[in-house]
Amino acid sequence: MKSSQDITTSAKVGETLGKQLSKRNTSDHSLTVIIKVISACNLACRYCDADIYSNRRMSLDTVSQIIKKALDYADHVEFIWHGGEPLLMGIQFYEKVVELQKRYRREGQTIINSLQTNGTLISQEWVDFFKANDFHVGVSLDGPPEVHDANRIFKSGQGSFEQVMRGIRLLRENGVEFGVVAVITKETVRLGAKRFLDFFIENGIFNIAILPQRPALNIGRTDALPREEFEKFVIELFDYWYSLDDPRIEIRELDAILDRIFGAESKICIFGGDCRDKILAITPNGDVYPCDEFMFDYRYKLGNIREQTFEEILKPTNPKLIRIRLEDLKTKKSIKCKYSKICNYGCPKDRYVLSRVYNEEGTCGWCNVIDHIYKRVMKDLGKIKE
Amino acid sequence: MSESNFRDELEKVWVPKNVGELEGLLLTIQNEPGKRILKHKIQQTIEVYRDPNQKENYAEQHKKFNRYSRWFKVGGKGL
Repeated sequence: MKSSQDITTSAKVGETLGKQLSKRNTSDHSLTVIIKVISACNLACRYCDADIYSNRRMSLDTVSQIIKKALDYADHVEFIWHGGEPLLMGIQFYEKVVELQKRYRREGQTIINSLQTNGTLISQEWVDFFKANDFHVGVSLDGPPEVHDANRIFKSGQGSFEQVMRGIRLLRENGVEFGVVAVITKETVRLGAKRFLDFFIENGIFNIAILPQRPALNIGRTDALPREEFEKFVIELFDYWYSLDDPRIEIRELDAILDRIFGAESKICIFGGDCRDKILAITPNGDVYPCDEFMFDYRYKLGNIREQTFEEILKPTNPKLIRIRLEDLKTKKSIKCKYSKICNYGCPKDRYVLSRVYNEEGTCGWCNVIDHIYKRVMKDLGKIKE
Repeated sequence: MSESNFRDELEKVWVPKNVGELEGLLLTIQNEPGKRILKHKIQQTIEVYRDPNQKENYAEQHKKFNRYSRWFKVGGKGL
């Protein structure tokens, strides 16, 4: 188990950072860049919607341009290292990244590095690097083996659960701060919310994020977990989490909904409101998209960082940005839900998928979850009667 | 639903108007057993509101964007 001291420290860091970030947003320029350093992976997850077969790798020249231009553009930059599997780039690549960040950083600028990995390649060497360079690590872990191994498999077909848990143990034993991201699939739903959360708690994992399994539109697949099933699962998860009443256990999305109910800003982008010029994603060849969720559609390409600066790409008069904003507005306008002031209309990708793939207009995909949480909270605050 | 009814519906969703309202809420549940998650979240939010760089008005709050990672809450302290 993670010690209570670790958990407290982790919570304090999160709180302090939250305040710092909030301060920055009031007056300073900030940018989050999701950098797809590689289009290859050592896994072949059944639900994967990323490009993992073109085997493109980001060159040092491209990454150098991204870092320089991001630090020219914004006062506070979060680099999210992503793939494919970003650890396949090797430690030397990231040592160079840190060196470039130090070279181009100006006085007073803040740089945050986060990395999302499947966890199977984490070694002592990687752990030492993360620790020495203050990388925050997100590990993809869907739950116990019967759930995780149903989808997160090596190319041989073998499940990756054991290797991921070995990586997590290394992170924990070495005091590297990490969280897990779990994709909610039909296997998770079959397992049930209680057993899902118990698994993480029993393994000392207290920072959990959940994502619904989305359709892999890049390869033309539209199968995914139906919205109703996802919402039902999350409601069960909330009820169980809430009944445990332990603030040490953070479930990112549930935490964010409570933040919004109490009037705070969302700690995650999906309930944050306008993300279009704050979060960008870049492919290995430098193509820039508004979030990696839209990389499946070439029409969403905003530019190329090797040829343009972030100022040019994010110029309000960029016709591509205008068109994307108009499309966003269209999917927002159909939402007449009274909770939209809590969800901020949710994630543009979710609205895109719900409206275009499933012909489901007027929802961000979280309405029933928010309705359930809101009513429960109001009851406990004595604002509504049972 | 007419426009005015729609606005009424929206109004029905309670959100705190200011930090005082949140502090009042916390006081009312402070000594009740359990509700630790609620107490913790309200306390956290009060601390954010008290930040001089934060606007107290909820409407202003909810217009702003907090650029946390969608992949995971950032925990790094920067270089």
